Amino acid sequence: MPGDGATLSGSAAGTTLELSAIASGEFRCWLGGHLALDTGAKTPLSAQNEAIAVPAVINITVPSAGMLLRCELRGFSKPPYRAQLLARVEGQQDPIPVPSAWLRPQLRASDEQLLAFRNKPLQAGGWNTWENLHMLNFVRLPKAVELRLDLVQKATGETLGDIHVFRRDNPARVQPGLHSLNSSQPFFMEVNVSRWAGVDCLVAFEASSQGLNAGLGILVRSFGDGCSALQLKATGRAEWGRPFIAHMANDGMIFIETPGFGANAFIPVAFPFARNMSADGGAVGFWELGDGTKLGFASEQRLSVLEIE
Amino acid sequence: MAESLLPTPTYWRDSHAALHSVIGWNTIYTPYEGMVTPVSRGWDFGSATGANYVLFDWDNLFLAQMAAVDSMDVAWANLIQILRAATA
Repeated sequence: MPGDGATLSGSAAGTTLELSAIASGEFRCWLGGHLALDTGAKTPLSAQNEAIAVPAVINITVPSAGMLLRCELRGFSKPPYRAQLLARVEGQQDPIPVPSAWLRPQLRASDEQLLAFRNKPLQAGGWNTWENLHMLNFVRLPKAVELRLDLVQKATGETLGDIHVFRRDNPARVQPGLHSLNSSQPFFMEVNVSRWAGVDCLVAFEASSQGLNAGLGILVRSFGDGCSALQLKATGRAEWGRPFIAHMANDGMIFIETPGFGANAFIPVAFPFARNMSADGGAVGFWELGDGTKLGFASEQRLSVLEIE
Repeated sequence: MAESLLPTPTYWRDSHAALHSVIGWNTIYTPYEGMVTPVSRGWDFGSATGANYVLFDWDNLFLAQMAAVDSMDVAWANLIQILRAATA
């Protein structure tokens, strides 16, 4: 039935489905009831009134067989509309063009109401530790720009990895402190990380953001004789596989820009801390730690440690 | 907006801060579900599906109840998503 979506043949549970979209608007696709692809608005950074086609690709694992793929295409600024969605199931050679008849919003009215209600706290967005596995991954919604902090062994280059309580592999002691609840209040968090690989070093992290459109401030302090063996790494990029563009301005400040929705869609997030572009195109910086070291990071503007405190 | 349903008695202050922070730390966003509160950030049974989080039956109903002390938005988000996860 046109517009109701369809089940892709061969997409059994556990197979990988590659969706690639080329759109001069916005593509959103649901597999079953789950949002599987969200390209965001595709508009050139230099001419925001003129739509261009930008490809977006995502690989997802099919949770269960027989799930419907339904897509919505919207947000065109002017014709001619350019849109193509290809779906390729793992093991199949050729991608399947998705019929244009599927590209219609197909959520039931009751679902729309539920999703609108569920997403209400996110409409304002803001910085928070939205990503699950790593407690030092700060994500700004709705743009999904992330600032990730990592501890690195200087001698080996080994990274501590995702930080959360009760790590089973490569253990370290993680002590969470206070944390704000959601984006309806100013964001703050505090967490201490210590005893990684037997190193006598405690690293205390505090972060806050005073408003929904305000920048993020992070304070990092390290204590212990072993801290000189560690480095702090900060990386800026987009979360959840979203496409992003990194720019380095003349003053060396790196900006991360992702497509998004609404009035705030094209405000770039600045990462004054970054010194280099990472291999995947993000912004990255390294800092030495030591006993009594105090570091400060801020998004959007250059601030001293004292100002961040 | 966060809504406080219950006044916080003085003798609850430390417990309240702990409850508030536990829910705050565990409340995440995922493009698949929106804002939800997994039981533990350490649970990654979804790595095979790329989901990297777990919503767990009645645990998320309890989490919704806990979140309701400080934020009905977080409480409703969890209640809605765990009910939408029903398979039968």
